[in-house]
Amino acid sequence: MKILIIEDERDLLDSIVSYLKGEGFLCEQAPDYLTAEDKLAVHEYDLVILDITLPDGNGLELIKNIKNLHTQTGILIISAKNSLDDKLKGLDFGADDYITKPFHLAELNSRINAINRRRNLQGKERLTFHEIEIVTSAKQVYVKGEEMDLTKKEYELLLYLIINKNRVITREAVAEHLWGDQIDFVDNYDFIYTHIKNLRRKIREKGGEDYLKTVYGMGYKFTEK
Amino acid sequence: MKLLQKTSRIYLVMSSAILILAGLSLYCLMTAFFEDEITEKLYINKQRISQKLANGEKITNLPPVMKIEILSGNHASKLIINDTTLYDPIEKESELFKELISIENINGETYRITLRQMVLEPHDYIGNIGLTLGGVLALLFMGLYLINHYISKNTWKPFYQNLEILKSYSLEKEQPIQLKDSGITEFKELNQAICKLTEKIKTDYQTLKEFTENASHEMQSPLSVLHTKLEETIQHPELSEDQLKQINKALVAARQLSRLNHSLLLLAKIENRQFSQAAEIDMAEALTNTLKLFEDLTATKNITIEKSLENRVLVTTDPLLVNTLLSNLIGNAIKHNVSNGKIRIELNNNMLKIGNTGPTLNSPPDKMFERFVKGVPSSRSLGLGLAIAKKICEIKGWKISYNLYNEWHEIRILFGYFKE
Repeated sequence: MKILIIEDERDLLDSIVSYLKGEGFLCEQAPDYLTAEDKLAVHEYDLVILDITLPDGNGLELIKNIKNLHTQTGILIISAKNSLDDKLKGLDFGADDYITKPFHLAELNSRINAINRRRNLQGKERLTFHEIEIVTSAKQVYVKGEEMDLTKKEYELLLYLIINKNRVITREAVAEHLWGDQIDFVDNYDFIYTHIKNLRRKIREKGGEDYLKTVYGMGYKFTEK
Repeated sequence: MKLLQKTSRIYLVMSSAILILAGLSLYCLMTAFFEDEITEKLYINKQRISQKLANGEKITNLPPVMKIEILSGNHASKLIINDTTLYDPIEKESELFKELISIENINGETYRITLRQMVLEPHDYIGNIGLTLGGVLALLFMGLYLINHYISKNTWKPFYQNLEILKSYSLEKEQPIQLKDSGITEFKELNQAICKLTEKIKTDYQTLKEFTENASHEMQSPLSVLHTKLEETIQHPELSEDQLKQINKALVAARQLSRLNHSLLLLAKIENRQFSQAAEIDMAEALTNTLKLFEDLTATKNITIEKSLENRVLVTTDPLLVNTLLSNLIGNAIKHNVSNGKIRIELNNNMLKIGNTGPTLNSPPDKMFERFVKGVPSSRSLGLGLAIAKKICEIKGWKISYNLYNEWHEIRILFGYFKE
């Protein structure tokens, strides 16, 4: 999958590119409006990640551009403004999703995957990790071919972990992914353990291996090692 | 005390003192004047009588006011004036008289001429003086009252109107303050001073608000860099457990900072009235939706929710404002609750009540809605949730209050309390 990342903050751009390359995406970068315009005129991308507050132009204009040139391209907006106005405008202009700065790289990855599933695979994707198989269109999970009975949160948790496999994911990133803004009203993350514990138990019950490692004092890592 | 009352009072005290002084001097002057007049009259009459006697005319006595006697023997000429009290048979009472006794020789005879003149006694006119002055005072009072009434009705009218305008003025308003012109120089100067002052305050306030918003925006990018760099760092496999812990603390702090930033930004936006979308929202529906979002959190804490929601409680506002308000209130009710606690929600056309069980708070209730006031000082909370809720209520013209009833913390919102 070919992705163009338009972001004027150089350091942030580097981090995004390095993370996504690690996920096996083909990444190109544009640090400003003009470069982005040039690249979009020449190449076709599966996805454009776009910071709408650029120093030399309005990112919203770029969305129009992209929509005119390549209808198949997915668009993910990054914004420093947590403003509904921008969000609605961006989505109205044809963006697929919207993420507010600062974000977890794992969350960005998860959103990219979701857009990719919707746009390019029409939701027919099957995600596999050894004996675990997720059919995203039906929101079903199979372990060794046997269907698992997961709650909505457990399903989302597993999907998130598998998409960001082999990476250390912080508890905060997990919590924010699953509960969004509601996380502001949580005084500790104890309740995540419950979901983690249940998920582990259910996988084990189906004869699956426990790939979920606890990274002490930090979070989790879904890995075979 | 009102200004007019105050001046009237001073004016009345002064005029009463002056009138009393005037009465006293009038009394003294009149007494002296009457005395002079009577004495002069007695002299003149004595002169006339002496003249007539010298002409050999016969003069009839008229007691007690006139008595002429011929004295035998030799007497030196003498003139005496004194006061005496005599019984007046006509008036049938004792009266004060001025008496002039003159002993003189006329055509070889010694006469004693006694002339008397009834004196106007002070008590006869002191009452009249008092009455007249009292009357004048009463007229003054009345005049003053009417003048004051007129002044406050007309001359001070623009002043009071401007006072009302000032009282109801809010810095949030778009237009500059509009004061009434009175045509009175002092008031005009006051108006100019106020207009200048409010403009200055308004500009400063605007700058401050813009500063908050801009600062928050500008902070997001470096925060993002900080955040993502830390997240990248934790992927290194050779990090020790201790190092991971340290980085995690830095990550949590960065996250906290960005949440704070978002909240401040939201507050600034609400203050700047940037949420202008208007939609009709069913409060019961909005509450149910919000509760659904929090289902997982309430389940974790095993919190029971009692609802008594009236249908068709409609408000017209930006949906984001209502959602933010309800999430803040319900979120707080969960967060500050105890395990196995309760939440009680009541909604009707007049108000919304959200109550929760929970430990006693450290902050005083009247400070609850201020920024950065936390119920539990050490908590992860930013202390902005209720400040945001209050701001939203202010914009909607609702009144929000906090109460503690037998271990129940209750937030109450009265709809339509103030006119928008």
